[in-house]
Amino acid sequence: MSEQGQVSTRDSEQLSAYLDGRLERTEAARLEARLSQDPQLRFELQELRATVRALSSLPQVRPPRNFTLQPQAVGRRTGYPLLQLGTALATLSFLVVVGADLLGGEVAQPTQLADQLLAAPAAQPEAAAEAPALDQSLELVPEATPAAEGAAGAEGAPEDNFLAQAESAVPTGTPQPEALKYRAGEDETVEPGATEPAAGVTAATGDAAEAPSVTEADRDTQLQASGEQVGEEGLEELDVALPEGESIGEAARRVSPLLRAAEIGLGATAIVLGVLTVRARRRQS
Amino acid sequence: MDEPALIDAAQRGELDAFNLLVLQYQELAFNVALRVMGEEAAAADATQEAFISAYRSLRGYRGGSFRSWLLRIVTNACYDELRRRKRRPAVSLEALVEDSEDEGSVGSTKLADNPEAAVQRHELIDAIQDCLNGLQPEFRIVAVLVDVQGLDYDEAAQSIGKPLGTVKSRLARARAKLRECLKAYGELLPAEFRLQNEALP
Repeated sequence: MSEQGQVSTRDSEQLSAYLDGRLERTEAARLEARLSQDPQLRFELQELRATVRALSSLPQVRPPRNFTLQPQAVGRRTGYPLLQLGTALATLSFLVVVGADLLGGEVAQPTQLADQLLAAPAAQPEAAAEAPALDQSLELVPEATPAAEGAAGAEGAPEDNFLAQAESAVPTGTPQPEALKYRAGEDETVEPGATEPAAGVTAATGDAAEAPSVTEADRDTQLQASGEQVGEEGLEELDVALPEGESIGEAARRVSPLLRAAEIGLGATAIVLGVLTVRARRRQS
Repeated sequence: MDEPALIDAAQRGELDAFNLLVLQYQELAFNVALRVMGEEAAAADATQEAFISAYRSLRGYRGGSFRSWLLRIVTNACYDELRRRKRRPAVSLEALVEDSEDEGSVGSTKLADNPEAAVQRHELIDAIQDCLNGLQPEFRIVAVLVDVQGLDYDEAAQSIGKPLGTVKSRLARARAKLRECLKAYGELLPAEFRLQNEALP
């Protein structure tokens, strides 16, 4: 028999479950048999029932306000992060293109032009026909930089290797595309040593009529740097680099509209995305 | 639109559909939070947080009782709110009782109609809430879900994310503690809720 206030934990759980009709039938029958013989257990059950009744009598309180959500409260996907990213990318692309346009006009454009001309021979049959020679001449231009001249002394292996390749390429006049690409990439390692761009490079964006003479000057410079005498065959081969006159200047003019279009497009995209981003930001806050 | 359709729409990001669910469940959620927190402002905060959390995690709902799923979020929000307010002093329930004056199932008599009954009712609510506040949160929540809100054991188990046996044992212990607590109020309680030794079945 249980004593008052000394109901076991098991009895307490059984009474609680019994009150809610959650006891197994056999357990319920056993408990009911005990309840009929144990007043204290009945008392416990009665008190438990009164406790539950008291709890269930608590009033339902009307909420002080509605808890419906506003878009900004839940950080509803306004596209703000994507807009941020898009604006950043568009702006960066715009700056890269503008930078390439500005710098490329002085330094890098000849190689880019050559690459683009090589990439689209079908669109420009005439240019395509001259592309290898043009590319060759363009490759020679960066070689005639002060760094290349310095390399004639005791500079590192890249310059030596580069000059060796140039040496082998000049007499034959038929450089392989792979070699050209390699040299174009290598130019970047040589260029930082240059204090000023080669004359041929600046001429590339200038008047097309000046291009052949500039190329000759470059060629001379390169020959000085390599310390080699190039035969007449080699010079004649090099002369076909920009034989038709129009090559670099006109090619630059053909490509620049593409750059302008890219600049305008990217700039406009960056502005539009920026405006949308600011609006999204305002909506969020 | 029925509840599954609303849930489906809300899962696709339709906030309006979710807000219809909020309107449907906000009273239940708020009252659970209120009895667990013991304070209206804290309960409102927990309820709001719970609905925000529910909206954000709605894609994780995989069917079953939406009410239980929501109440689990509410109880978690209550735990969080209790932790946040742990260092704050308890607030009197007087304001709560005043606010809920015209609500409720315990004798909806208004103060003007029967002042004595209204006072008695206030005392009862105060006493019960005070005893609930004295329980540890894990016991309090089970008592609120089952005895105050009338959930069955299975729903309560889903709501607290515990097995059925845990609900049974926690509920039994919560009721035993509440019984001891309410005894201390003795004559303050209405006769129908008064616990006395001579009462026998």
